[in-house]
Amino acid sequence: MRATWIIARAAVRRRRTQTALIGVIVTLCTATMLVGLALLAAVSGPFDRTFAQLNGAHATAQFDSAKVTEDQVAATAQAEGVVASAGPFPLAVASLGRPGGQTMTTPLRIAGRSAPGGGMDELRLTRGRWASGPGEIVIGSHTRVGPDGALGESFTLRGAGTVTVVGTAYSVTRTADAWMQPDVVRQVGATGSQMLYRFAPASAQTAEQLTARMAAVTAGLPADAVTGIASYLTIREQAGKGAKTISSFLTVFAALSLIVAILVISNVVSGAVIAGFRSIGVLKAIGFSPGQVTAAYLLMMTGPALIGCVIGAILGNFATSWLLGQFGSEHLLGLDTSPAPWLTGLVVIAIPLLVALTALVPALRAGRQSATAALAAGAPLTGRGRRVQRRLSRSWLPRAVSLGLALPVVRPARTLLTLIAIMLGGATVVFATGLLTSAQRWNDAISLEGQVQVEVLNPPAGGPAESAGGERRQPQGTHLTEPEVVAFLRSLPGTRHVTVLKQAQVTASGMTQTVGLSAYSGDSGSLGYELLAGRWFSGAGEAVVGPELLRLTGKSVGDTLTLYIEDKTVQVRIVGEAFGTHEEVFLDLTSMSFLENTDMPSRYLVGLAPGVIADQYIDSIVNGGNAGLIAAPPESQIDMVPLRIVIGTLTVLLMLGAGLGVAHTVVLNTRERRRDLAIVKAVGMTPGQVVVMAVTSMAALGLLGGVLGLPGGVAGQQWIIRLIGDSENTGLPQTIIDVYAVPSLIVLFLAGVLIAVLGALIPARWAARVSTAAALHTE
Amino acid sequence: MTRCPVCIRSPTTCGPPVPIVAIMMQTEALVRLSGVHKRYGETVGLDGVDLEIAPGESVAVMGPSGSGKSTLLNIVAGLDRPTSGSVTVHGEKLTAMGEGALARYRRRRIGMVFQFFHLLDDLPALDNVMLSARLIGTPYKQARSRALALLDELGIAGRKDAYPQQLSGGERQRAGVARALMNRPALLLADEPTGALDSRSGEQVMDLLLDLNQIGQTLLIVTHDMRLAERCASRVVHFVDGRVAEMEAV
Repeated sequence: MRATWIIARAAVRRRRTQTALIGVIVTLCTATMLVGLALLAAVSGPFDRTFAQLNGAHATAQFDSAKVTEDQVAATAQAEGVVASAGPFPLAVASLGRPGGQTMTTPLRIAGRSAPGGGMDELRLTRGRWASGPGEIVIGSHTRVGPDGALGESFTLRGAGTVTVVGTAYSVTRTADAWMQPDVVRQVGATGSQMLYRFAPASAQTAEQLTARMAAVTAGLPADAVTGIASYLTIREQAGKGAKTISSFLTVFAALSLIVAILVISNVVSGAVIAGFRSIGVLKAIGFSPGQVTAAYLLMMTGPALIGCVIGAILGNFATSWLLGQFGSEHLLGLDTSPAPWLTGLVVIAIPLLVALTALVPALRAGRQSATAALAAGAPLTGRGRRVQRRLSRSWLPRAVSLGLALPVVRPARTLLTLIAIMLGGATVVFATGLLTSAQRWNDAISLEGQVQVEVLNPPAGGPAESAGGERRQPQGTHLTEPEVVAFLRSLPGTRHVTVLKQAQVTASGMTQTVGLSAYSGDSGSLGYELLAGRWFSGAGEAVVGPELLRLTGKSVGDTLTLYIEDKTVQVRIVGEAFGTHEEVFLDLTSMSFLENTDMPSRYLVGLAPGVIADQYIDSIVNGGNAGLIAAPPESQIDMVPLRIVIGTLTVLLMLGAGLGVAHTVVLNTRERRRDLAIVKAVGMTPGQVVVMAVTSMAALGLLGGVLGLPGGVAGQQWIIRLIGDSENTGLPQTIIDVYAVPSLIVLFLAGVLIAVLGALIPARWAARVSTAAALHTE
Repeated sequence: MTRCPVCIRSPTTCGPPVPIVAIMMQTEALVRLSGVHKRYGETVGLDGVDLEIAPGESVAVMGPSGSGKSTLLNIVAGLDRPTSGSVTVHGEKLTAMGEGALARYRRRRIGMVFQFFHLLDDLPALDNVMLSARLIGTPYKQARSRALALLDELGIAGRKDAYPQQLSGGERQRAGVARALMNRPALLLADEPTGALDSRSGEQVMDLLLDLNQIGQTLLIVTHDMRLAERCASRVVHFVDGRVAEMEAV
């Protein structure tokens, strides 16, 4: 064992470049693997994890303070099945406004809580601090306050004058939209109170169970005392939908990072072992047994790998925290931004094991290899190598180039390993950019961001404006009719199209659950829904539906669908299938004209002309004399920035790993060819030509790697995006699948060459500086 | 050389050189090859070789390229296996040994000197020499002491910390010889020991081998160099096409 240790230690110390490269590569791959595993863990049931961590409320009930006393509300905590409760909290409903007059929010549910904790429905402060007195308010992280955000800003609030947002807080079941101290809420004008309930988990799994539980809770109270009941299942479903797509993409990238990290490590380690084969003959000649030879090589690899692994685990923890922290909405990936300790431990154990295993195969081969054959390694070219050299030497190519092109043929095993490294890097770049484009287009298709830049609400008017204490008290909404709002918006400069939207829940034939209905009037065809089949509706009696509805009802485009809303029945013909719309139904408002005469609020979707800035357009609504309208950019389905950051970071890590893998191979090649390099320099090749020779050999592999990796990356992207579509039970528009334009393919193809050339450049320059005399000394 | 590199004592205390004929008559063969064949596919490496080498004898094997000289050396070293026939060295039948046993045999029974030195690039000269002793479990201090003495005896003690790339060809070969002698082998095998050396270094190595044999070291040398054979060997075996073509006493 001592002799084995001597050999391994000497090799690690002496081959500093190789040792450092292996260490850095293992560091990068460890960090990448940890990030990947943490992402996989994060996308697994984030809502349920967060709900458990924050002791979320299974149900939230709101009570009318005029119909029921606080004591009566508090007594509901004793109802059968309730295992925990919180409240009653005073509840007010009001909008925030600007001193100048603009209404900034829809009516917010403002609950009075003295502290964010409390043992149930714990509120997690995401920014700032808790409100401590009058004039301070904490906004829910799910609440959109105008186009510019809110922390530190002041707003007007009915009954409270000016309030300043001192913090934002996250509630897992969104029990309220904002919080103030209880006394302050009462001052604002609390018209209700709120109770939160938890039940035994087994009796809170389904909507039916929760309905039964709440019936028991509210039994004995006056019938109209309860003004609203919210179930955690609704939030969970919404969170699941929102997170599902982003989770799919993150899962893919996390899995890719694991696979590529494993392949890069395997490639590098086995290459390093193979490179040392010549020493095997010497070791065996002086009496090393096959087992000792194998052990020496294993030790050579696992030493630097252990150090790289520990450093990589530390870096991976920081990287994971930073990356997960990019996803501001806790529903998406949960509260934890650091990898679980067991994940770190798993990686720290798995990586050295991986290194040892990938070293074992060539190391075992090394132990079994014939000593005489090993001693003969590095002998002059024979057979295949000579033939290729001769052919190339007769070509018109410069000598440095022809020598470089022949190099890969001489060492097929090494060439194969290098090629794999380049293919991995190239395919990763192609795959990553393609998938990111698909994700972007997916988001565009379902969020209509390209077509709708401003959403306008016209809440029911809340009274005339009046002045009080120098401040203008803002009325809610306007007295404008729907056509008047449309005419007003169309009159504003920069308006390209206006569509009116009314939404409701309806029942459809063949379905047990209700589905979302969106009834449009105006320029709905300009909304830009991506159609998987058929066409957009053109008038009454036609509808476009989501893929999930077709799947659940067994219907297809061309069939008739019956819709039930309240006591009305409507029959429509399905003329199209819209991507990204799950089980929703879209139709013209004239198909359900009875909706026009209801109190159902309308939303106005405004598309702007090119070059018009949304914020300025929103200001023009206020300046146009209709400050009661609430205008804001539409909510994005997927916040693409964090996804781009994560995918971009992983891609860079993987490319670095692949690039360093190539550099490592070139270093090994260069060391092996020292004598040949010295000979060509001795006969007159300049250092620059030596660089050309070394880089040419890698560029050739880079070209080949690009040719092989590019279709692999494209095929991978198309396969994965289809898989994601299948997992969401939807077809995909071709624009989401086919994302590569020819110019971008060329650029991506050259990525493989670039990886190879850059990876070869530094070792090539080092090779050019090798002392000729010293190198000719080499055995 | 003032001291015996094998036992690090004055040559005079090792005893006078014993004539080769006397050795062959008095002692059982140290190396015995019987009917050894070696084939590489269709190519014949050795074609029925019978050869004996007595303890203390110095045998040079000569012949054209491809005649089987190196194959013979590799088989005697246990680095290669014959296709058929038997090989016995120091009473141990190599053809019956597994890889592990062959490795132990190489550690203890033989020392090898190569044409291209084959020192390990990652170890300085001293560590290269010590390695074979450390393999058989010799304590560090003892191994170091012997290695230093050998290097000193061979005139390269001052280069003990140099890496192989920093040594001249002659220095490397002397380090290789020192390594081969570390464990006091029964048999020293040399494959073209002067092939890669300049004439002066080659002369030095020839002198070294001659001195070794004079104090009883058994040598099997493969060489093209007739001068080396005449100076260092007591018998020359000529190989042609894998067979012993001729044997002559020198």
